Amino acid sequence: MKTRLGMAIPIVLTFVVVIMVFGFSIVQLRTESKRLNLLTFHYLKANMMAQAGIQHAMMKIRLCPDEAFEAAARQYGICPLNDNPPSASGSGNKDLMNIFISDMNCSNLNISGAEGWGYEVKNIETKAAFRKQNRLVTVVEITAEGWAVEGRGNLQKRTETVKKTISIFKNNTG
Amino acid sequence: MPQRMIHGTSLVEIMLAILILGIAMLPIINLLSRTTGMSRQERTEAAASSYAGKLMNQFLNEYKWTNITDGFISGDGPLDDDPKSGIWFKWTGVVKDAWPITQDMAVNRTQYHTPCAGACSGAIEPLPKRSPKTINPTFCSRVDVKDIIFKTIAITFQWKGPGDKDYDEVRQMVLVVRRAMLDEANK
Repeated sequence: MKTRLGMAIPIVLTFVVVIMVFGFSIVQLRTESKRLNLLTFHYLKANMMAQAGIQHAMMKIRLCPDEAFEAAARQYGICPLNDNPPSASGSGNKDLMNIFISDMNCSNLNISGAEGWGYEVKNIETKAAFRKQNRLVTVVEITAEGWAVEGRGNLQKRTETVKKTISIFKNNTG
Repeated sequence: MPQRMIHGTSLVEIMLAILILGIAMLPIINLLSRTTGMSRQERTEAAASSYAGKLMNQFLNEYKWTNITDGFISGDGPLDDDPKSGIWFKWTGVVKDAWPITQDMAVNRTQYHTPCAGACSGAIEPLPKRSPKTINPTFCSRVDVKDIIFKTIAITFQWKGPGDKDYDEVRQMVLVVRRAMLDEANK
């Protein structure tokens, strides 16, 4: 009987401690969830910038398909002037491609709220070259890097890389 | 005598316990109600990031080039087009030329030579930088192109969840992407 009478305060204190632990867990969960949302926003910003880099590369390839083909073929080890090239080693001269991608970048978007964001096409690598009917085809992989700055949550700068594979054709050969 | 003392202690103890419980529960109840409200905010924010990503992908891949008009753009709507969701989005943005067609590009070519049998060792021609208009005048003068072949699309998203009276100026997100005229280019 004596031992049971002194249980009220310990029971209440235990209950309060349990409730407080529960409360703090919820706060912790909320903080994590908020940070996750911020990370998603940050990822989206950087990813969209990298997508812009891919679009930039594709715009130039569409505008200058012959020059793009030459650069891709040359870096694969094929002479772009040869309409019936032998099989190539895959390693050639990258000089033309380096010039081709040299202006595929942007570090100033002139958009309010997007200061310090940008993108750069890091590489266009020729993966394969083959003939398809009367066309020579090069398969290239574009690698673009995009970055964005997020001031909230001490996130600062995030960089995302996006790759895209496309084909570049040289028409009417042979 | 000892029996009465025990009863008295118990009453004081219960009163003390109620006091402790009351003092401890006040901030906890406050915390829980705040947390519930904020988790609603986070749910709205998660929906907002998903909505923003979807809309940007539509601008990037789905909308017709001619439908992305230059200048200011805006829109709004509920989550999943369902007003019952209670989550609303509003976006405003700007579309502008990212690469004027008179702006030079770095373009070089292989100098003419007898075709190599293996890896190409021919010199490259140091062509002057040329603009899209010079490289592909037919394409650039097309009606659909309207002298723009590369667009910057910058959009600011705002959102409000159930219980929010208006869009919060603090909670907003800017997304920027660029879109090139691609499949339409060779028509």
